[in-house]
Amino acid sequence: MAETTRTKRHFRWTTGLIIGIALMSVMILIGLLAPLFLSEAAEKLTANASQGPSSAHWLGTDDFGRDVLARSLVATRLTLVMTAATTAISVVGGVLIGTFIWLAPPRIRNAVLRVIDAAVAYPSLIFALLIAAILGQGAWSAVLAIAIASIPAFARLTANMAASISQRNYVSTARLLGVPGPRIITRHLLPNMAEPLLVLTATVFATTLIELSSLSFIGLGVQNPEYDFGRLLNEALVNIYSQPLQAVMPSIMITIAGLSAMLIGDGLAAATDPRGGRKFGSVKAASELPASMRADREALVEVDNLTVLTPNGVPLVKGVSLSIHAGEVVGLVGESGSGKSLTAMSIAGLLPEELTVRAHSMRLGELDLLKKNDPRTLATSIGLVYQDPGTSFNPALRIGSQLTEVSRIHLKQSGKTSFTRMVKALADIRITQPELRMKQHPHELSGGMLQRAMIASTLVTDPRLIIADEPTTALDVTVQADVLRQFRTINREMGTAMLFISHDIGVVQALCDKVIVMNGGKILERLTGAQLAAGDVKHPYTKALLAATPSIAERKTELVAVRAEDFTFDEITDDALGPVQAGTVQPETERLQP
Amino acid sequence: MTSTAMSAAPVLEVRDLEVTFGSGQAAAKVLKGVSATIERGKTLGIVGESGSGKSTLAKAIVGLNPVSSGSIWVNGADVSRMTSGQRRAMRREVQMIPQDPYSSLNPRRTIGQTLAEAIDPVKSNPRAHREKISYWLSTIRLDADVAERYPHEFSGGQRQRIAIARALAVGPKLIIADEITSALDLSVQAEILNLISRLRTELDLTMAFISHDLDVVHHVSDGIMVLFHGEVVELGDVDSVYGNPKHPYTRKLIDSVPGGPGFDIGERRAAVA
Amino acid sequence: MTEPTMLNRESALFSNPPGATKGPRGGLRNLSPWAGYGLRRTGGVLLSVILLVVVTFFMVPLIPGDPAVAVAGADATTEQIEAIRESLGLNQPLHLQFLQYVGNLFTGNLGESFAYSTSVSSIIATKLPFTAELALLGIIVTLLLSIPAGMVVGILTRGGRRKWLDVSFGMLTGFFQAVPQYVIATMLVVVFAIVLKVLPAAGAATLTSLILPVVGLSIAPICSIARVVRRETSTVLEQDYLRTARGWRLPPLRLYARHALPNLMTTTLTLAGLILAGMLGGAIIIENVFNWPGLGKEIVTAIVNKDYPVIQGIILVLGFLAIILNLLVDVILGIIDPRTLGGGKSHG
Repeated sequence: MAETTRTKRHFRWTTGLIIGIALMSVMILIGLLAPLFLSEAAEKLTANASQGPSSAHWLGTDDFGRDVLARSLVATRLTLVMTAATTAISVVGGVLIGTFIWLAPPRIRNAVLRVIDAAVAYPSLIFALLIAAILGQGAWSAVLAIAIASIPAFARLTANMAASISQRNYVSTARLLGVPGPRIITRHLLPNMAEPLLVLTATVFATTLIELSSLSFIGLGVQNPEYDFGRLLNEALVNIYSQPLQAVMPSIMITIAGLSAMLIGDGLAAATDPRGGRKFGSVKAASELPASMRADREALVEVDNLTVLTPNGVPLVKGVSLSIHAGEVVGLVGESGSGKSLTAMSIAGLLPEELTVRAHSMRLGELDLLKKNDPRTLATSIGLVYQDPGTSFNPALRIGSQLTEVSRIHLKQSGKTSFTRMVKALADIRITQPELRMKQHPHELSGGMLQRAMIASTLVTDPRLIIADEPTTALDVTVQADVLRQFRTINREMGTAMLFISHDIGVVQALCDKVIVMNGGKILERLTGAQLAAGDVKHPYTKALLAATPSIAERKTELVAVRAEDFTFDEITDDALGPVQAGTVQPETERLQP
Repeated sequence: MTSTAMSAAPVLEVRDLEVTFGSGQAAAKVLKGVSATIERGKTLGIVGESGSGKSTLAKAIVGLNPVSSGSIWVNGADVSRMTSGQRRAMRREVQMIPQDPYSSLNPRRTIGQTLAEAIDPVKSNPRAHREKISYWLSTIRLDADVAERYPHEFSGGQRQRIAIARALAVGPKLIIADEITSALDLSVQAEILNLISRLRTELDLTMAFISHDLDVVHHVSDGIMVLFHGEVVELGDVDSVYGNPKHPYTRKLIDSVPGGPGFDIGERRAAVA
Repeated sequence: MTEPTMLNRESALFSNPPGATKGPRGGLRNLSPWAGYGLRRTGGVLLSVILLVVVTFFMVPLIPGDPAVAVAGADATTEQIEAIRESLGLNQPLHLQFLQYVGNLFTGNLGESFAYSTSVSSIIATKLPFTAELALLGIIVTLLLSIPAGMVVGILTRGGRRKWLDVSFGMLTGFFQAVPQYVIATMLVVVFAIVLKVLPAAGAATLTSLILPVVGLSIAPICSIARVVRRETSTVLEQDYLRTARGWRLPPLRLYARHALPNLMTTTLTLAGLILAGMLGGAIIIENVFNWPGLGKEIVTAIVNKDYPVIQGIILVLGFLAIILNLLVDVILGIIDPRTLGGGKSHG
């Protein structure tokens, strides 16, 4: 769901970025100062030709008696100026084309994009050779050649970014408000593209540096008597056997220049990457947490004092205890951030690896879920159904091969047997043309059909528990009713126990035998489905939730606006009414919280 | 748009609207002759499942989707017969509140700048419209000083309220709310629905309220339109449609609402029941 | 949903804006998906070819000043200039020149070289095998090394594990991307040919003389593609369907090879197409370092000599090779990932 907190990304200084900026500053400084002090040593022809290293010439001299070190340092200015000019032309040209085509009518925009696509397919160096052939050899024709050759790729990238931003609602809203096109670009598109554009510019700087000097290197860029790094290496290659040192300094200089631009680009990208900076926690620690509830040995699933922690030690689930008996449907209901999905995924053993799971005990039958278990036993005992059928199936594989994975891998069934059994299971759950479906890819099926197929696949292994995490949230209401009917039939006819997670009170009250209300990582109340349906609830949070729900059954004059944070207090239990024998969460668990 | 026509005509009238995407063999008719009217001060709830065409209809009304046939009348004027200048002026008369509160506000602009753009799209100067901005912020129960802040400092519900204020600040004749609560938690949804109810009475809003959630539509609407595969299968007063649906699809839809009176997913397991 | 970040210029090139991938859900079109895909791709290829032909044609008329004077040089006589004008067809109107140019292309007539007075096609025929040998070997080496390397690193560093590996991989690949190919090649020559004396520095006489050019050509693209694969791997590993596969408790090898690999190939191959096409450009540089008698060496000589028919011919051939490479990648993509057929690559 979109209700995740998105904090503003703050800039992270990485070591790479700092080193990159430092190196680049040194290069710029050399570019500024070297021509002022070393021009004479670098350019005056002397009789000391082709000398080796000496105290006067640290790296020796070239064929014309010029100091190799001085030439390498002086060449920095021309190299940097040419690269900067090239980058500027291709970035400005690319951004102009990439953004302003969004003001053009769709036909023209598509035509331009197609031409750009066709141009991007050519290696830019070949493109540049063509332009160099037209303009002739020389520093500035090389700049133009590389700049023009880089424009299509940059325009493409900008157009992609602009496309993705112009689909955001604030852009379409701005159109409805009557904001003129150029202002949409300056107010809404460009500011939101600034960060990636900066990253791209640094990368383009690095690549143009390489390409420009490559042109000089093959003799088509900078011409005598001017020289950049590429030109110096071109001269050095002729003497590579007699004077190998002549090639070293320009190589080092160009490497430092390229590397610093690359480091700045990568550093900027990492600094603005919202996914960055993640910490990694310990995998799974069975621990000595205190027991919290009376032993419920008869229960099929027993979870005692479950705690889930982030790598920083922030508890997301704070001492949850629950039990599921054979044949029972238990619902976990709560809003986003209540910890209901984390609880379910802890039982399934499928939490993101950076989270830490702790509990006094967690078992399914005789299976200790805190230990590492045999994959085969796990795969066949727990059936899983996820929230979004559109993303839970592998888009690249056929439905049939995915649905039969467990049968083939863990039950060692032949492809044919598992296929026939799966076709029957699909037919049982009233999927039309099951054999055709098995051969199709996920994108060819509707969401409801995929979800029913997923349910069918969990059934063929005859699992002891089905965990369904918001299985109907992504579905249409009529399809949802159909899927719920399917769950009910499975439970009635096969007696499979289920843990059903949902944010929808109407759904859990209809399907579940028992309902557990969660908020802020804790259990607040345990009810029966019937109690919830009748509104027979005790906890103020549950009451408030019911009052906040609009209903077709009655028209409420005003809904109660709830703030989940206001209900952080603990579970209300009343043994006379409490449907679940489970006891209260003991105060010991509170110590876990920081 | 003449002022005489304005007083008598409904705020929105849609006649035999058709929208087709693609062409030739790949053409898909998404709306197949939709007709509806919304009178001043009324809210029409538009319900339907995915593929019903309800969002296409919303976009067609505000001019974001091209219309292949039929007509849209706003305040008695046919939009298709307008000059492009008139149409640009008309665009401001119909405002849309989008679904996702996280992409509806430009993260690089302050709340004040966002609202100023709604008031004056060309200059968009928050200082010139300070009074209006604080008026609209007070309407959605936010303090005037939030105008200086950026969207990331607000919760989903608050952002959705700001998006509502932006739509209101234009002073539109018609507001289209497209699934404005579907990305929100139940508790936040209640807050937004209460705000909408209050604004409907206080500002005499005319609204098209689009949602897949029959409970929500029931709560805010005067009339109901049920769309199914691009066709209107039922249109009428909210109580009569919900209480006595004529079309079998409407009946199925209503019976599919969990917790509703007609909801039935079969017998419970004997041992537990 | 995380916003797309432009970590890498190639990565964004063909990534679709969100929402654009929601193509028609099958059944809407009567055409078979491959036929539709074929039609769209043929259109794209045709456009690329037309662009290539038009651009190479305009090369000569676009030369500043009088092209004939530019070709003939400063101290040419009026007769010489006139002869060149005649042989370039510059006396005719532009559209007739273009028609003749296209007509000649269809008959495989690429004109006559000014410098060698042989036909351009025969020059290309002798030089192309050398370039093709180099590029093909380079591409094979690149694909064989980069994809497994990127995947292994991506798997080992999943979810932020093994920070040191992540950092050193990033540093190493970044370094080789930042160093120009000709510098790497020159250093290879210094180390292996001059200091160690184990491999020949130049020429194409023996099989061992292939080693250094291929290594020099492949290092940078190996790093680029490995970086792409590594990033794609970590993205794919976080997808919902991988959690589904983990829920089936599949053995690790099956999980990665069957469930992760095909999905990361889509982006990887799209980018690889561009990077591999870029290797044709790299081959030009490498040929000049190693004195390799291929098209790249030839075109540089031709540009210096203002031998325009040869330049046109070589650019046409290299351009065609790039188009064919991209087309090949698209076909492989269509086989691996059927969603591509549904117009996933269409934009906007």
